[in-house]
Amino acid sequence: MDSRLLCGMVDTLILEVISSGPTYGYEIVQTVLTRSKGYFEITEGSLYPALHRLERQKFLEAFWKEADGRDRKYYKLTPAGKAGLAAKRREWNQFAAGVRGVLGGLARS
Amino acid sequence: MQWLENLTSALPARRDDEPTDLRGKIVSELRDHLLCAYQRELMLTGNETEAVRRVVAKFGDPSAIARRLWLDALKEKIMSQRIMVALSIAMTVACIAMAFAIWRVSERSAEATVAIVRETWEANQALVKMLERAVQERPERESQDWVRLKFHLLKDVSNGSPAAGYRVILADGHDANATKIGLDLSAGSDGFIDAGLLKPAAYFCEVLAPWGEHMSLHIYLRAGTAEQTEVIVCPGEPTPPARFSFAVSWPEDLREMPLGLMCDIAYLSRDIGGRQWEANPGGQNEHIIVAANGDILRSRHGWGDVLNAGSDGRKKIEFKQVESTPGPTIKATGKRLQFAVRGIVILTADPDLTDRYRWYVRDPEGEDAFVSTVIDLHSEEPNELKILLSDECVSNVRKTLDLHKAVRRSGGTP
Repeated sequence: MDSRLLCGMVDTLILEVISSGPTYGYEIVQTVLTRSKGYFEITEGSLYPALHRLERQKFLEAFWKEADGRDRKYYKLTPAGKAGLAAKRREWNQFAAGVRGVLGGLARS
Repeated sequence: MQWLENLTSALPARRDDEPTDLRGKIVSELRDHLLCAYQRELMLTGNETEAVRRVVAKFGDPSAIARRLWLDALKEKIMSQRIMVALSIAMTVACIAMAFAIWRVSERSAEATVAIVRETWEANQALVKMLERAVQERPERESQDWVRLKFHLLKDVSNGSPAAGYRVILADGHDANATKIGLDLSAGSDGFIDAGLLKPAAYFCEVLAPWGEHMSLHIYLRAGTAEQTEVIVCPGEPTPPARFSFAVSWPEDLREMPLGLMCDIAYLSRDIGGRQWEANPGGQNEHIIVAANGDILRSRHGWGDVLNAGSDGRKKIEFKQVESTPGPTIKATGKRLQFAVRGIVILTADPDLTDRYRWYVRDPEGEDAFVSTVIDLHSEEPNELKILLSDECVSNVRKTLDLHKAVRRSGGTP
């Protein structure tokens, strides 16, 4: 997969994964990988800067919780994060519809 | 696991404004991620080394991610700080530039001030020179109120040598008694005297030679004249003393009598440069008494002093004033002479005249009774002044003596 296609979708995928409930970085990577059936694999070099940026933007709220004998940082959506995710969904749907319309037309021809 | 421990040391040096738990949270989060990945890989491979290799290969450089997270967290503060530093540098540069600009402006201002002062000074100098030229070029007619009076004193002739040390006494009026300004000035080595600025008027002026010979003149300062210089020719040397003797024609019978002839000597004036110079200091005549035996007695007093000194209270003898006529000679006549025997007076020849003038004789008509005699003062030979007593005078003397003897015999006073 061209990594440039995923570049603009990282925030949307992260918010979408976290919208299911509080989670942490490694689980987010694995969830995206699982849900995309191995198609999307977010690298840690992209994941954590994105998480921290969304946290500074108040889309995410972090908290620490002990797990497996060590501290683990969990993220959950804030109301602003939920609104932002909804907007990104609409944006994606419009984008996907547009792409499908074009690609469908090309397929029919 | 050493690769996990390197996360902390990979971060930049701690900053003062860094939150205390920032780097700890970053490291904890990444370590948790790496451990989760390691446990998964270990479970899949069963080999710790392989698990680590695969985790590192998949994760990338944890240190780089840790530094990026740390920088992202402090980006705003770092940027703010950099902006502050940049602003400080910019402000410093601006202040330095402003200070330099102010210094340049002040320097130019100082230069401008110096230039203005120089121009002002030059303008003032030009104005002063212009005023000086205007004063120098001012015509004499502009001096309406004051006239500068100068004297140029020369010896003997109009182009003679400077009469240095000669004095000029200037009085405001027509005679010496009307002195108001009373200037007493001495000529310098060039013979000039600057009497200063005077109002146009008539002035009485007396010029004195160092030996007392003097000359008087009037000066009229004309209005509208800036400067007036009086050229005065002065005697270069005093008149040499003249020797002369008296030859009074006393009758033989009277020569042994204590009699004397009272004489009044007035010094001659002389013409120097067209002006008459008087030789007698203070205008006073000298008094001598020629005794019948030919002795000459000098009186230290005036006539009045001599003749009024008696204790008998007699009326003093009246005298006539000597009339002066110019000329280089002395004539022994009464009315026309400078040297004269006036008022025929016979006195005792006793040196102590103050109380011994008992006898006196005067011409009943009050006239002089002597012949004229001319004495040449320039002659080196002794001059003899011959005085001829008239018969009438001798007769009066004898009558007086007889009267005096009669009075004394009777015990009275003459």
